Amino acid sequence: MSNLKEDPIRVDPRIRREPMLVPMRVTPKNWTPDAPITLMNGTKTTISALAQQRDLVLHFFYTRCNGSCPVTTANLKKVTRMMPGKFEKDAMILSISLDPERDTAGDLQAFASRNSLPHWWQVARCDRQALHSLLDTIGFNAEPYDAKTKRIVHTSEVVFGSQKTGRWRMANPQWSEPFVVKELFEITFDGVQYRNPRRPGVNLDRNRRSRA
Amino acid sequence: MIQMNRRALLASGAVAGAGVAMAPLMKRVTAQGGAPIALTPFVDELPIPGSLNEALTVQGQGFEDRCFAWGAPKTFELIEAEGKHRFHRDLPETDMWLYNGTFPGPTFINKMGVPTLIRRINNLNPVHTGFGMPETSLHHHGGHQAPADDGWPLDFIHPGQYRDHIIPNIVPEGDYREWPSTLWYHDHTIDYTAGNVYRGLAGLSLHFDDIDSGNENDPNPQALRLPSGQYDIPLVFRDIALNADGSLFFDQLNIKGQVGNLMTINGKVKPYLKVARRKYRFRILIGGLAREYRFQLSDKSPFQIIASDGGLFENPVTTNVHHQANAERYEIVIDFSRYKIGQQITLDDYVVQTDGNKPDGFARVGNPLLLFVVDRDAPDPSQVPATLRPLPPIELNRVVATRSLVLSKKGGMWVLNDKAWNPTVPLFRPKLNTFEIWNVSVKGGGWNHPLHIHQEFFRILKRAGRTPAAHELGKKDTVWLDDKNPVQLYVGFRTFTGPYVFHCHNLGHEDLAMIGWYDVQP
Repeated sequence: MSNLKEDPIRVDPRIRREPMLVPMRVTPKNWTPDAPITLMNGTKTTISALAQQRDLVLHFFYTRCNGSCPVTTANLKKVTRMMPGKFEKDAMILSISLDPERDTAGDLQAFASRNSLPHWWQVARCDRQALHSLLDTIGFNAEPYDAKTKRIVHTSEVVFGSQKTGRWRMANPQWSEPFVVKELFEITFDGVQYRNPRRPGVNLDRNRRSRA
Repeated sequence: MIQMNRRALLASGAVAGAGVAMAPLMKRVTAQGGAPIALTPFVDELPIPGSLNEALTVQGQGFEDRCFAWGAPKTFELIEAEGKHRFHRDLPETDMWLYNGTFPGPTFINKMGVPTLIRRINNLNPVHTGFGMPETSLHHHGGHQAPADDGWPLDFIHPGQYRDHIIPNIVPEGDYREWPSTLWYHDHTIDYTAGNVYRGLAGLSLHFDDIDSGNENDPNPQALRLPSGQYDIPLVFRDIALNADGSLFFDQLNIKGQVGNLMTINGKVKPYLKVARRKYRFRILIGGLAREYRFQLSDKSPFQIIASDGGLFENPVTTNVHHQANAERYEIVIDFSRYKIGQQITLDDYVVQTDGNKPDGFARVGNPLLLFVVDRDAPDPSQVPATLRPLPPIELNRVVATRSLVLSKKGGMWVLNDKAWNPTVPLFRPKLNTFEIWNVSVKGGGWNHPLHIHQEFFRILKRAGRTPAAHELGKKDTVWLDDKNPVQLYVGFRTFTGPYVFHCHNLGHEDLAMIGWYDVQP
């Protein structure tokens, strides 16, 4: 795309005309946040490889968290119970440790066991550099481990999406009602098949009555 | 292929022209080799969005009884479909989602008392891949319409479906002072508004009556005779970011809201407009995702602001600098008779903004966005009277409640009064035909929010405890906020009962999830 065409008007040379640049880049339509991860059973894989098989919910936690993580985990379980069949069939939750230096494979397995996680809820960790890159890419906030308090201050949103639709969104199961999170999951994963939108705004009889 | 993170891309991405810092928005792309594409400003003429022709064929069930209560409607078809748009002469066409094949979408022309019926047909690709969702809703922004027609975020329709929206073109309590001027319409789908609007689903909706008749030669003594016809021009500002193949770059997980480095007006990057030596009315809409603007003419000449979101001011406000946030509308009159034929002037922007949260500051030198080329004489029967449209009174004796609304961040998401979006529980339950005082503030200093309230225009009583600036005294539906500028609003709830949303109109904030609703009780 050369820029050799003549100007349609003669622009006063005193007018500032610095060129605007479009970088040489391409955004894949079916982009997936990616990182090499190790599942709690020792299997090494990547997020994008898992995304080729199932819709994904990325959940960040650490096993020693006694703040938001237990609430988020419990609420995520409620959401999955509201979507019978979906996770068994074609979606999965991937819980990724925010504390790879301290969360051992055994800790992850204990976490899964303690929470009775099903086969479609995998627990994983990745190395610090990959974790940092992943969090940076998706905009998740997590401060470094504080040795004094033995805590990691972090936000509690989950990131979910689908390689087949190329859609990725966030929700916060800690603060949002489970049915809201469920709706957002459904819209993002299967918008076209989602045939029953909540419609408090379309009570036509009510609107007719409301006219002053 | 190299996956690049946000910080790496900061160093390799676009460079904005004219002293504006580069936007930190590229976070998940594949980089290709080669030099960036350089776009020269002012090589495309400013396009003027066309008005929509009435469709006589719209028939169907469900709308007649609602519509004819307001009178026989003018009917229009609005078709959402994939289409192509060229943002600049030297760019390839961009795949977009368009209303009736154009960006911005076609302009609705509304007359007071004549309902507009919009049959919106979703012809988008149901197996679309990428950002945005082909399930769509529609909000007539600033309109006084029933909840069913207002664009409730979960009232989306699927590809292959249609929905009728009735814009009754009435004013609360029949008060002509409430009549608006420049509104707009856009997608309003839950969680996906930003992506869908960015893909192109937005257009203008102009309102006229006997006073603002759109005829500068109107013999009616009531008529204001403001500049009209070819001298009444909408300017829809939108910043975008593009990939090398011309496709739109959009960051789905950017919680701050996205800003782009290419500044477009009416869908063209930095266009030019040939003008005559006379007065022009410009209707400015900031129709982007998050960016704010501070406008000034290159020669620092004054112009008159004559209207804001809710319509004409009582008196024009003369200024030479004007700040405007996302979704706000202001109308200005520029008198080009002061210039000589051949002279060129630019409309410059002074805001430096590199992320969606708020401006970094203001540039010393303006970024010229629109080039005016004075190329002819033309008769000018138009005027800007000292008195435009009276404002409706603020009747504090009708105020029945005072509420507090705090915009903040919690758990990585945006919230209103510490509550995330919940479509089953309203934040407020105002009573029909009453008014309330809303004290609105922002907690945390890292971000600005343009708050938009649906259903009825409000008034700003106080900003930071003081009377607001003259240009904020008119009717508004969107108000700019930061932590140092709490506002006190006078909000009415008339004509309709039912649910209406209010939300931050930084669309990244709205989608994640700074949106609540109130339920007007009978």
